[in-house]
Amino acid sequence: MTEAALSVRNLSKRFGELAVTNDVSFELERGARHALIGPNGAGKSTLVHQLSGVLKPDAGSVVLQGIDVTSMSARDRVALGLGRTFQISNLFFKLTVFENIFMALSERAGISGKPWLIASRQKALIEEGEEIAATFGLDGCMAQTVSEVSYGEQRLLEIAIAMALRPKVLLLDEPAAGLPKSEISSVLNGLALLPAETAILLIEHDMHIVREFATTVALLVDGRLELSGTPREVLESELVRSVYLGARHSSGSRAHA
Amino acid sequence: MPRDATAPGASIGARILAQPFSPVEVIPWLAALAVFFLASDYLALGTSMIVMILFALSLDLLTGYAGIVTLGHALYFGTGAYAAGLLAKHGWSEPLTGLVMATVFTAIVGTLLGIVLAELRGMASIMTSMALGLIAYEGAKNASWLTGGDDGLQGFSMAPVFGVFRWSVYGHTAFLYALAWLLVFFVAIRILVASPFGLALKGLRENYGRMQLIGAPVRRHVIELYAISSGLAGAAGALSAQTTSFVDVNVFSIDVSAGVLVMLVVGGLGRLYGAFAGVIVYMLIHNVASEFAPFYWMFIIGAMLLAVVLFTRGGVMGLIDAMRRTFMRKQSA
Repeated sequence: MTEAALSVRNLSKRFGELAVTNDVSFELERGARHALIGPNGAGKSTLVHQLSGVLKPDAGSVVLQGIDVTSMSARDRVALGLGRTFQISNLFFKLTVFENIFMALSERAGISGKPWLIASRQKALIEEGEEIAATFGLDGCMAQTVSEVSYGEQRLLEIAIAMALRPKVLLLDEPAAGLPKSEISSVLNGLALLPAETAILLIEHDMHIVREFATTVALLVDGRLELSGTPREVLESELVRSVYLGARHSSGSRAHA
Repeated sequence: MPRDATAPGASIGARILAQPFSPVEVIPWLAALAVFFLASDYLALGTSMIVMILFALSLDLLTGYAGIVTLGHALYFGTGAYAAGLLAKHGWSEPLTGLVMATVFTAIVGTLLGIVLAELRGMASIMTSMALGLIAYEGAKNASWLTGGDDGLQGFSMAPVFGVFRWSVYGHTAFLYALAWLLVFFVAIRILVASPFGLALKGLRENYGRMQLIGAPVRRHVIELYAISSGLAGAAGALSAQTTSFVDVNVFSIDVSAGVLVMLVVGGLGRLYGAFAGVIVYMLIHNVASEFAPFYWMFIIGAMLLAVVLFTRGGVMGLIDAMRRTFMRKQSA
């Protein structure tokens, strides 16, 4: 098993004249903790959408555990082990926290099409759901509807649902977006509990989270991967500083991972 | 049903998912028996209410639970009615097997149409379902060699239930026969709603796009739902044909599709008992209003629908909930 968990090759996407993804290539090994940073409008979310199957790339390929999924639907990619969370909470707001988790579990277990089963008797799945809820500190609000719980808890529920699907590769799209500083640590604690063998691509703005979580970092600017390396190397580079401080970079030292 | 899940010691998760039977749920069935023994003048009205409750329940799964609005549900009601009627007319007058066959046949029709309808969402789905209903209506009107056309399908009668209970003009057999079927189907629906599939239906309603991204086979879920919902609507239609020995071609009309939707909204969507409350309230008002104001009863129904939409959340059942909460608060104060 030498193949990468996720391998992205020469991915390109244009919106009219604008190249939002420009010949992006990288690989995630099993258990990777890779972060993708970049200023607003760099094309981070567009890239995630192409990886998860929401958007179709114009060129290039996405290979998940050796299977080319470039032309597969988002749902089929989930079935093959690609999970994701959303920058803007995308949950079942009128259902309870536990129902959100259990729904994902029952889809994964393949029992969601069986109208003769009683959900409350699926002991093993329920226990697993309770464990996941406890892992992310959601055990206190399992019976509340999602719209009633705090924003921080909703962010954690996003990750909990992704975990319930037991993904091989997990895309975390700004998991702490919109959270006050005080609540970011609970998301970080949640991220630390993700299974070690899961390959994770973290899209993040917050350098503190990147430093805490990632072992490798890449910088995306104007749809192009510009730099990659350890957090220290990348975060302290001139290019990152100039990009984040708003100074336009003129030439880039391009390094494809 | 999931009684063990509510027992002390059951885990929190199991309790959140459990939908245990409550003693209050006996009320409609006791009320039905009371009508049977004490108000036998109303058995015909009662039987048609039972038929409509089953029909409204079938729509509640589709519209109330999964959030798929349709203006063509009469198509399945009519298909079941004609299937049962034609079976009886052509020699298969045993009611139980006749109803099962009509149900299965309608479910097959519903599955085939569901394969098409599952591709559509929102307004496109509403309009297509309505168009399919209209095609069935015109088809049934024109195929008078088969359906009796505008005169309806008549000249058939059902064999006694279990070979024993004859269908009298007083309607005792018809009432209990319909009630027994409603009970059977209701228990099945109650289980469905408490199943992972029932939860997935709510997921489709709440966030269709997200369902795909938790790996749900959404198309398959929707087609399965159409199969079940159309089968139940077909069973209601078959009950109607068997208990009245008549099928009006208007079973296919858009009035029937819209009517059952109005009943469901009046009663409360997505909670099963809304179907009971809505049908009973609607048909009682219809019955009384059409006596006093035969030309204006639609006006009264319309005013009622407006009142429900403007002043209550969740129809009659929502109102009952609100009243119960206020009562509880006063009790605890």
